[in-house]
Amino acid sequence: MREEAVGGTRAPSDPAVADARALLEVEGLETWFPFGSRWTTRRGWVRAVDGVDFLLARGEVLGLVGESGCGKTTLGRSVLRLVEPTAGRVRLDGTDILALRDRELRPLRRRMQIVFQDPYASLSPRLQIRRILAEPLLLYRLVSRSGVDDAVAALLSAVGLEPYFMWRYPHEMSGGQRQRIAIARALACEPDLLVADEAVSALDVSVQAQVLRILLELQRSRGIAMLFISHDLSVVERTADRVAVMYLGRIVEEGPTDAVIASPLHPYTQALLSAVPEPDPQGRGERVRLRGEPPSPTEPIAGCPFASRCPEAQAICRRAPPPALEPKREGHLAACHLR
Amino acid sequence: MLLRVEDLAATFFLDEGELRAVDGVTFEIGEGETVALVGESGCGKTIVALSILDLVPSPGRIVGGRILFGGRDLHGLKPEELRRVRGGEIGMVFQEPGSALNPVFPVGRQIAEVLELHRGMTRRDAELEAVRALGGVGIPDPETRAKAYPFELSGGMRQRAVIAIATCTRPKLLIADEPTTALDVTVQADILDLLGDLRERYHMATLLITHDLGVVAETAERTLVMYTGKLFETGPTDRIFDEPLHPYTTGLLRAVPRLGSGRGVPLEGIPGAVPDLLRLPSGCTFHPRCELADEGCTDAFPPTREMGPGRECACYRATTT
Amino acid sequence: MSRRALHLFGLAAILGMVLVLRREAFLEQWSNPALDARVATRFVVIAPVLCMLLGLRDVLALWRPARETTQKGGSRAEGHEGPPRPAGHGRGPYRVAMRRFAENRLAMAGLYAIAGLCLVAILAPLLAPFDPTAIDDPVATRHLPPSAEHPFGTDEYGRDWLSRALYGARVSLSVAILAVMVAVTVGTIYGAVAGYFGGFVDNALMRIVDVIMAFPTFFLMLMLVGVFEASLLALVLIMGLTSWTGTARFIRGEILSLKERDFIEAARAMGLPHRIIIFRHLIPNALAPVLVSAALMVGGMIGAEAGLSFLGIGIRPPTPSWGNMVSQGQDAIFVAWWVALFPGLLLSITILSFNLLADGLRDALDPKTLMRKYV
Repeated sequence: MREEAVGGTRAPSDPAVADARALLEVEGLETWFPFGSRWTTRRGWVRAVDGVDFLLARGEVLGLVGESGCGKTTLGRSVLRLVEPTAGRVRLDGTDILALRDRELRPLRRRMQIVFQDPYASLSPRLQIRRILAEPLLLYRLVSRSGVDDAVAALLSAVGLEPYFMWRYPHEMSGGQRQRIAIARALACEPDLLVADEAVSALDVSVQAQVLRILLELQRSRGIAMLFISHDLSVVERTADRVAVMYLGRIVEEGPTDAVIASPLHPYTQALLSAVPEPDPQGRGERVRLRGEPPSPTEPIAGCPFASRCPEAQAICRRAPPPALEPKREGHLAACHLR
Repeated sequence: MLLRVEDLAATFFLDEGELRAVDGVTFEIGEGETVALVGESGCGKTIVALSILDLVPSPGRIVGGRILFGGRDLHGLKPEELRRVRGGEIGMVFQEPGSALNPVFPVGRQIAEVLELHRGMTRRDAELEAVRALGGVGIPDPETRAKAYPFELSGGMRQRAVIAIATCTRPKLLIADEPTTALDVTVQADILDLLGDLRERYHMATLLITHDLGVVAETAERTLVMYTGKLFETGPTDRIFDEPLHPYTTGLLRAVPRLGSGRGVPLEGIPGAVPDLLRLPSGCTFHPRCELADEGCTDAFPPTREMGPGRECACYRATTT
Repeated sequence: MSRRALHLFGLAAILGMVLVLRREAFLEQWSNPALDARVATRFVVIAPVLCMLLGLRDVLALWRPARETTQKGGSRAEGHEGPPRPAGHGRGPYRVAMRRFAENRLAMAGLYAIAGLCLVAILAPLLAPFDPTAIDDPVATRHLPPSAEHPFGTDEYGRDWLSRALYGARVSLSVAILAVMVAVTVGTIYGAVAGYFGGFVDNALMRIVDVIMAFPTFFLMLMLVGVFEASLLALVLIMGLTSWTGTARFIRGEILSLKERDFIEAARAMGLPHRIIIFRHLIPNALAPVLVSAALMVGGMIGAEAGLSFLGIGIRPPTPSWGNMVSQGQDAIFVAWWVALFPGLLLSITILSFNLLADGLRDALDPKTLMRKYV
């Protein structure tokens, strides 16, 4: 039944990029972090990612939204095995990367790249841009040593920067420029999968638009599948083919972007949508207010994890765990007692 | 007029040269009014806020202009009187709620400290009042939370506590520097609502500093648009949103992502980047990024012109319809 | 630039003159076995070379005009249309720091003083007017006060105190610098291994550090110097190997926090091998504070050597070191004040210079001052 449910979301909205087999298959992924140790009185697990399944086709963009602390960043890193998941399967083109040894995994890393949120932290401050961008090119022997400068210049112009930027150091560049370098570095590996972890959230709105456009153009022209993690629904709306909404380590709603934004099913998605500020001094609808904060991810919860904040919560929500993610409409899934 | 900033200029004296972070800024804030100061990062917004409180960090210094608060020139005050204004009559909220609180004291104590200092309360009264202040900013179960340390609170709760510290003395003016930028959208909406409530409750004026026009639209009556240390456009918020005069304002507005505009519609930004304040372009500092710019824009900085009721704009090409 | 060129020219001229005037003395005294001079000379020559290998080539880059680097970049890109490199671009963080350092007058004063002391130490055979160990007429030349002939006076055996101080600089500086190098190298590798591998390795290694740290460093040195034959080499090793724990501790901390940074994650995501992550991404970013603490440690080491020699178990007479010279002057303080004063002064100036250098390095390398964070 689970398989069917996920199968319902298989077709990406753009048929041109559809592929018989998904590029990335994530199944029952769990990443729990231990806290405390043998010597402390309190120990246990933080369930950052607590059973997540999704599929990502070639060239498709899946938006992953949720509040901070919902586990979306951990999910992104678990998929790339930058943190060790505790259970589940992550298949890239059919290969389960969680079963691989470090040595076997390393060549595969070329195919899956990541762009981080903070452009000030993601570039080594001691290295010239030229060396930062040459590193992946030389590691995977994508160009010969003599062709490095040309290849770096080509990468720079792909992200809209002049070739002379290769001589600079990160501290000589603005946030937007650095983020473009981070994108160029990820694309240098010619990946099939890109995880963009809040890739534009730290930038000013005016710069955000430029960087986002460059990212999307490159993603489309090179047919890269992208997991676009963001807390900002208005950005995700323009970026993603499908959206998955995450709450406390689980996906609570998933579906085509238009459907999720226009007619959200889960009360949590509705609240998220109504919180987006409206850049119009006159028109502002009533907000769905969320009470309180997400419960602690260290304690198992009897009912629906969202029940404590849900404006529509019923008795059943506090008693029984929510149903698994199931299709409610065409390709639109939700995990809610009431829908 | 509660606050009048006249021709303010602040310069950083760096090894590489003099950096004019604020360059001839003039504006007013009325009692109970909310004014937004908008611009990209690196354009001097924060330095305006710090200048008002005379807190410009070294090697920066205020090099010109006056700041009148309730008729008094703030920079003519003795250090002691100025301290009474800071935190007493003018409250300040910063972007990072984590670093604005002292990690080794409970939040209630930190509020009480301000009350003891500025309102001369006894310790017991101050602690009671602190609990009330925490309740007033929408923190549930304030008695317990007053004893909590900052690390025990979530980002949103911490920002509420910071707001409680800033407003517990009933200031006439609250300066909020990117108060929601570090927060989630859901929490951001709550904090903006809270600021609105407090303003009505205490009849408090607010200077809201932000790079996000989406936030501005929901809260501010008037908007000041700033770029490279200068004010480019000022006016009532709804007028600016309806009919932006300056091409920079137009660009900022276009860049705001709106919900419901449809998938795949590309966002439009402003081409290029904020210039290095040490190497400003000649003439209008915006001309390299401006789509309307012509040769006339490269000679001298355009004068500020009055364009309609309460609206001013510094652009050669701006016209009203 | 011209000011620096002038300085270099002046130094070269002095060197040349000294060489021409005192050629014989140089040849004769270069290797005086009684002074342990050969060993000391070798150390003094090795020290600057090691310094450079440790990454001080950035200091030299200060003297190279910016245009020269442009041409270098251009010539490497020869054969295809390499992008032109605009002036003022591509200043690495270390170059920015060194520029900042060069503007700090106090720190530059420290640097020049140290450079001067090192030169004096290297050229001691040429500069010294007398043989530092020669005792010709203990009665006639005993405890002579400072004069034109003996600027620092003489000691109870009638030895020229200036000559001894010059040779003492050799021993004191080389012992201190080499001991610091031993300490910093051991500490950096030890700390980096502990921090990078973490877990059990980290726990085991750091508990060993705790045990060593439980003993006061100076008493550890005293004990070991007492047990082993105190040759110069043994002294260097003993001093170095008892002082690396602090470096190890903070390198470990530095590596631990760097490990969490996004650019290390990015390097892992790229599939880089551990070796490259450690040597290209981790260690260069952790080195700045090491440099600062190394400069501070040199001052401490000179003091420690002086302390050991003062107690009579470090450098033993007749080999002169500032420490045993002060010790010798202590007995005669009321008879001949100059015997304790001059080596003591040199000690203080040297330690002060290294502290100034360290302070300047700390300010220059502070990552916060590399970025304009305000505005």
